[in-house]
Amino acid sequence: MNTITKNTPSGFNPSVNKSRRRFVQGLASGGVLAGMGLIPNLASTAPSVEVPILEGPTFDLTIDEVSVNFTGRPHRATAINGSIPAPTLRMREGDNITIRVTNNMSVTSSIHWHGLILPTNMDGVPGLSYAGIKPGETYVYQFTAVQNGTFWYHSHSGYQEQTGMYGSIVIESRNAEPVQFDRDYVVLLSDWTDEDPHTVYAKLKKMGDYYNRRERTLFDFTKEVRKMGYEKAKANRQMWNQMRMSDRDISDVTGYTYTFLANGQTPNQGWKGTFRPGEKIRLRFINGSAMTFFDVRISGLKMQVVASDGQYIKPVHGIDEFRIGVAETYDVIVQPQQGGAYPIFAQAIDRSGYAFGSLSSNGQKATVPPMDPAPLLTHMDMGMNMGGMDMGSGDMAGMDHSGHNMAGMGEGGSKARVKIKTGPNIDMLAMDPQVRLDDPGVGLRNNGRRVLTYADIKNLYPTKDKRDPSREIELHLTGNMSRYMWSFNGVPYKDSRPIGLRYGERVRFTLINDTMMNHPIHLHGMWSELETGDDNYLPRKHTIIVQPGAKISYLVTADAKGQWAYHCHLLYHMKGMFRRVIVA
Amino acid sequence: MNKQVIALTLSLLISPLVVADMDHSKHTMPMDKDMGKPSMKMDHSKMSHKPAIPVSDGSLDHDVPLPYKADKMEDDPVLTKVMIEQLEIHDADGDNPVTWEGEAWIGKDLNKLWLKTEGERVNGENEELELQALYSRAIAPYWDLQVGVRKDFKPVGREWGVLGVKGLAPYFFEADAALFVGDNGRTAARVQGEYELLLTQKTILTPEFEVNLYGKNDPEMRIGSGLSDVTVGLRLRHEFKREFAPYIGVEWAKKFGNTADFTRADGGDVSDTQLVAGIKAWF
Repeated sequence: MNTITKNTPSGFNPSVNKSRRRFVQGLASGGVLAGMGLIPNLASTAPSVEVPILEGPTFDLTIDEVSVNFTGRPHRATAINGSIPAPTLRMREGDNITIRVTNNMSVTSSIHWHGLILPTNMDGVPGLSYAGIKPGETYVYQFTAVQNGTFWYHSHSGYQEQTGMYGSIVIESRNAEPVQFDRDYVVLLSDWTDEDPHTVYAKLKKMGDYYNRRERTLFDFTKEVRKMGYEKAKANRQMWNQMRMSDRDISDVTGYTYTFLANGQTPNQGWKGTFRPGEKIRLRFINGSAMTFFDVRISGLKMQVVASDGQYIKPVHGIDEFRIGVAETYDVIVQPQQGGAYPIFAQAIDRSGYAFGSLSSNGQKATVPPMDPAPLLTHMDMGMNMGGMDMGSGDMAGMDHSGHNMAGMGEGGSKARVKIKTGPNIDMLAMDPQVRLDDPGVGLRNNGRRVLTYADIKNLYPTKDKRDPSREIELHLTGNMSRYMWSFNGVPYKDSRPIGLRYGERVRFTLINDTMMNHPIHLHGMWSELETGDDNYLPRKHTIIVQPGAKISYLVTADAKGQWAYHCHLLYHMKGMFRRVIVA
Repeated sequence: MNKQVIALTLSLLISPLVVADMDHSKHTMPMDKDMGKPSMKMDHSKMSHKPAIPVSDGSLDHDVPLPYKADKMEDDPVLTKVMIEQLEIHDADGDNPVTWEGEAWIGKDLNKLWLKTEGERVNGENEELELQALYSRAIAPYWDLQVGVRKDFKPVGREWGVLGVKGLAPYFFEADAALFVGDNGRTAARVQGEYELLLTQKTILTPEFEVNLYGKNDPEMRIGSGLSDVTVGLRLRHEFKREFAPYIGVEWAKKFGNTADFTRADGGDVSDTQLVAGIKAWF
């Protein structure tokens, strides 16, 4: 039963008059928007002070080039309805939805409804769903909202997502919600850069570690020598040095260029959600970043995680922190008994910055907690089987690596059961990739907090398709960090053939990460049912993190005919790490 | 005889780099003869009660056209990079020469056109000027094979064919090794290496070396056969931006064998240590 408080000054109230199309969600502004010459309606608009909320079933969206200022300097952006993030779209499960999208820009655009199950021509991927939305055109999306939950939408053209085209979708359940809450907030996390994304991509091609400003220094080594002695310190470095890999290669694009946003607000501005002590607050976390994984916690509050990628899961209680990959969503319930201001603290995975907001009962901003130390990749993240699978060995310093001889490293790669095109385009293969569902991931292991892992996630409702898969598709996530090339099985999208699925079949996808980075893999059009241990309650996800050096598998029922996109959701990886999936 | 010496020297110099790399890539990227074929092998990490099912990469055996026309997703655009590796003034006796080493490329991920130049300028005159134009092809994860031509404008006009490898050796040693074949049976080899030692994220100490060898005497160039000269440098730079770093350093150079004899005959020093100051930049 949804027990939303009536007439609260903020937080969504479903009984609000439908004519009230704009809704105050936070207290203050996202980036200050102003038109760029040709867009007078925006030029005359006062600074946008809220993420607007639009209510369905019919929506009108426009795409414009605008000027935005997140950093003190105005910069060009692409925005939906003049707002970054784009308006939150509220729909009702079962409704027939109409969304008219008009492109006022001089280049082709598109909008993809991330996580929504809909016909392929409504999916918004240029080339696969349609030709895109040309300048001056209006495309009318029509589909039935067959699901409920927290989703999002974004451009699927060029780098428009990085430059501001992303927003939240909230679909109310047609039946009573299985969780109770008094307030309902979206917390949309994102990353903003003043640099042209083409420049970012070019810099990464020219210098893969361009944005990594916490590389190893001489003194890190001398520190290790003091700590563990020269021989051990040297042995510890040996594999990394021989492989020419850095254990600090966590994120490609970092806080060096990014400003991290929560609901379009910088940490300085600080988005605020109000509450009264004792209320249950539903927070719908969405990672709408181009490249940034966040580790999210609310200091002083335990979280109850109730949904993952918009799908209700068996509530996971007592969670202090969770990692949210690019494009994932998590719904959590918190219930602060004490008044005050609680920090919503979303550290970038490499600790190069954070997005920040507050839950506040007194109008005050919370205090920003100190960031955790920057993480170091371990041998396990390189796909080496560490025997005991000791998840606690985030600090590998104490381990003796002298036993690892390089000759033994080759064997794991031969475990690949599919052809991998090796060559200059691949800098490593995981030697012995393990399923690591209960591994919170680099930087979160043994941090003293209860961290959500995929092993915790079971669907609230029973698995619908109980068939065993009839076959398995194995894909390796491959790349060369220094050349900045990305691919599946060593083959970039442009050289690949589509993946074919027979309509109605049930298939296991096994992903093996042969790189040192987390990749969020997104299948359009169909659920990815993550094999988290209980086949009767497989959580249905649209985006799945594959940890470095790990493998993971999920089941897909090919119940949607057509051509679908399947890709890494890191924006600067996806052009290579991409496949078409054809269901016929 | 000379050619044998050069060939031997080259193989000694280059092969450890490449072999080490290939060797290593063999360890990390083994190819299984059976790969590519769907197999019925069990994945033992999965629960064993699950029946074995065929495994493949899922690809169709034919392509299917895109249903709609759309902008291509270009993951491999043509890019250019210009690198001023060294542009520096030397604190030498009397005149203070300016020297440079620069590189530029245009191309895609695996195939590029490289230009390399180095030279020395004293009192507004080019004392040394060399230019290379190379086709560069990625042959291993960290290595490019570079083939092309080299033209020396100063001190003496010479033309060479170039065959080289450039890349990153294990332990993060940057290496560039090349064999030059010129007119009249002239041959030469050059090996350069450097290592970046980060003192902080922005302050970087770079030890580097260069070795030149020649197949035969070239009195006009004042160069003798065999090991000709070795230069060792140590430069400390501060990256105000990734793309721009001024530096100071010291460079020690020594001439050997017949080259040293030529130098001595000309009344020069066969060994010299100089302070340098300059900039490193790229865009």
